[in-house]
Amino acid sequence: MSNIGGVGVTPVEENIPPVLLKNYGKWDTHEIPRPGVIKRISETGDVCYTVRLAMPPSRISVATMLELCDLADEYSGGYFRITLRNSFEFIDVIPEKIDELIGKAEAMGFPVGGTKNSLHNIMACPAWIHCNLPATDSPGIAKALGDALIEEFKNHRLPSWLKINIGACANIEEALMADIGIIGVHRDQPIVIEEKMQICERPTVIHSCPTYAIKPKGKHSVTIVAEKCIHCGACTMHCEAILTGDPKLDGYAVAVGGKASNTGSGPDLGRVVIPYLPNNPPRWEEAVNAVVQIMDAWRKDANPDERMREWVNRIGWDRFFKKTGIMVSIKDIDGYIYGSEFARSDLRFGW
Amino acid sequence: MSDTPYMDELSRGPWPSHAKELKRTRYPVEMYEEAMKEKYTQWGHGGMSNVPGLGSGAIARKSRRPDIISHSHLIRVLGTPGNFYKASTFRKICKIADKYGDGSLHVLTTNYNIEICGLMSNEDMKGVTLELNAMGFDVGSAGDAIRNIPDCMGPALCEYAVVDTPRLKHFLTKHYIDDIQFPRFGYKIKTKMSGCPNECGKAVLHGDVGIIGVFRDLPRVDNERLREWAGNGGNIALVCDNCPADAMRWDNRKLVIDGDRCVRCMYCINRVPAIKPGDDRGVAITVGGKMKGKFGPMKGKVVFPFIEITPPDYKELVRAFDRICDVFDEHGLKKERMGDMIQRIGFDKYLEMLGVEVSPMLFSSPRRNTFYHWKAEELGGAV
Ligand code: SF4
Ligand code: SF4
Ligand code: SF4
Ligand code: SF4
Repeated sequence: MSNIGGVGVTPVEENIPPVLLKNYGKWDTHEIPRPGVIKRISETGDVCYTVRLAMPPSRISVATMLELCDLADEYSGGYFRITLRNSFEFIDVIPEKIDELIGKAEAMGFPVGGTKNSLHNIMACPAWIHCNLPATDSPGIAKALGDALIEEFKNHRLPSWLKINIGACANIEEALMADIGIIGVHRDQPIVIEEKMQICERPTVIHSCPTYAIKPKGKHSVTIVAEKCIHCGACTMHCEAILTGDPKLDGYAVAVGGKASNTGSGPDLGRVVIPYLPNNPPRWEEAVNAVVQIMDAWRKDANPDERMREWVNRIGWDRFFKKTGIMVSIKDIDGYIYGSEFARSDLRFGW
Repeated sequence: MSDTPYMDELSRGPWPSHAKELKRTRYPVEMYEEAMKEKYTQWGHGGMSNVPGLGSGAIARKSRRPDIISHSHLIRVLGTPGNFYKASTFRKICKIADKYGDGSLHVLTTNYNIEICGLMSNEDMKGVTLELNAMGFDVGSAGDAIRNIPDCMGPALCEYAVVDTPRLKHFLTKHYIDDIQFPRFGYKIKTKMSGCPNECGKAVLHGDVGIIGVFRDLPRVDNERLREWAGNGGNIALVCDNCPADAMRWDNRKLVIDGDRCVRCMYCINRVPAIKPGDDRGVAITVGGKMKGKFGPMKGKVVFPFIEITPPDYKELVRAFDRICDVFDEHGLKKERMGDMIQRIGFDKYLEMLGVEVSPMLFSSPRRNTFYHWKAEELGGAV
């Protein structure tokens, strides 16, 4: 058998341009001459221009990546980077050729922007393209949102940056970490295919359920107590014989206020403000409207440099609902693990 | 009329379109079109694929629509340090993807891997892996293993970096490559890194293990440069106002940062070129951040507030990481995420298992109940 794996990753030096190697650890400051373009300035006086593009949600073709590689060869010595928000960023672009590069990238259908006080690239999981668990379609929603908010991506006219992440089921690692997150929600009762239960590890499935809704049945199978199910998806993920999802009931929730940085009030996960909206491909009007509604209220009311969560913390969640006009329902009240923490004990109402 | 009205609609408009992209590949577009029509995924269960000689990295995906396609697998390529690429290198990855897969890529996944999609057989996946290995790349990051260890661009291009995350990524991936490629835990371990508390890597929120660059002394202020910056219209008053700890005093000549107040949040450093991170640098380690799992979404918890970074062997960091993995290996149940395990065991007991030194840096507030267990040896032989 041939040796396979065990290699690790390439050394740092292999894929970064000479100007980065020379100025490694010496970068001093940066300017943003126009949206999407960052000029990094080193202590040594060297500069490095980068140009940032929006990327299609979740999938890109080899053909397009090769075209982007050609652009990199022509304009940035062949170097680029994929940012932590999956933007494509040309590294060390020849300064005189920036406008030409932007022209070519935009002609290819790649808007330039996503820096500073703008909408940053939208992150989305594969969902209906290639997953068995989604309750909605992240790439479709991302595309619809991107089209509707394109001017926010290309301009610096929001109070602070706006990050939107989309995950099509409760499994998503991203949606609660963005200023606005969209999370797929299932609402149907999972079904057990009894003949197939032998292939599952029954104890694992039973203890994976947070509400103890799964009970052993017979020698191999299980039943699910309908009233106890909170649609977390743990069972369907660990066992092929349990299925969830119903086209008439599936949809998504909207969360607000996730933030990783330690500035302001520090890192926190977002909170779910809209428990359910229906799936409506291909243009997902309800999702677009909800995001615009939240973004507009924030834009109108926030101080300069105030992230979504800092704004909410300043005005309070009660005023957040008042100012956005989002309807409150019993589903906004957490009855799960942190329920008592999230209830109100102070009398500092924002009437 | 077109066969794909939904995808056609999603091909229009200014934002880059995945539908347009999929149409440039051999991806079975009926699978996606039907999903939109039915409002339901057409894909079936996924799992680890068994590539002989390789533990993880390959993911098998069944189809619910054998009339369209029987299955479609994918393989995860571990991203480069800082996710920098050279076009000549990336072209080779593209060539491999085109040769073995359907010509579609996921760049990047939530764990910052590149996925080569549309593979049909174990032989294909083995072929992909061998060709990647030959060019110095590797696969992994699936199953109950240590997943890809993504980093931010760090000092390669970022002025805020306090530790060298790309080099850490290179070191940790090599050091833990067996645990990345051969699953041995009860559940996955996602590790994330950020070069500073700005946390572009979302290590605290997202990582079963988070490694974040921190500094213990105060931000360094170059007052001469600051005066110049303020003279050129820099709004230092706004920055002082926005300091979350109200730690900054500016008298038009000199900025003083109050060491009893500053929380090293990075805000002033981000806004003012004359303020830089301090010099006493290392990493903090958090555990248990996650979205899914029994007790729902959780933020990570600090377990090592400061660890020195000592290349080339990063001894202290490796010791801490090993300890975290060992406790998880020993105490985690099957399919129990680290955060859920800690919740079940109790954070105090978990810290004892890790053997960390207790300090006020380990909590945001002490407890508000007296429900703790006293061990016999703590009672001074009174029982
Ligand atoms: S978030 Fe859920 S729906 Fe999306 S790819 Fe992951 S498991 Fe599938
Ligand atoms: S979806 Fe979650 S709550 Fe419902 S039965 Fe499955 S594991 Fe239990
Ligand atoms: S986490 Fe810090 S060091 Fe890393 S890219 Fe972000 S700001 Fe720079
Ligand atoms: S690092 Fe944060 S807390 Fe410290 S002085 Fe700067 S803004 Fe204030």
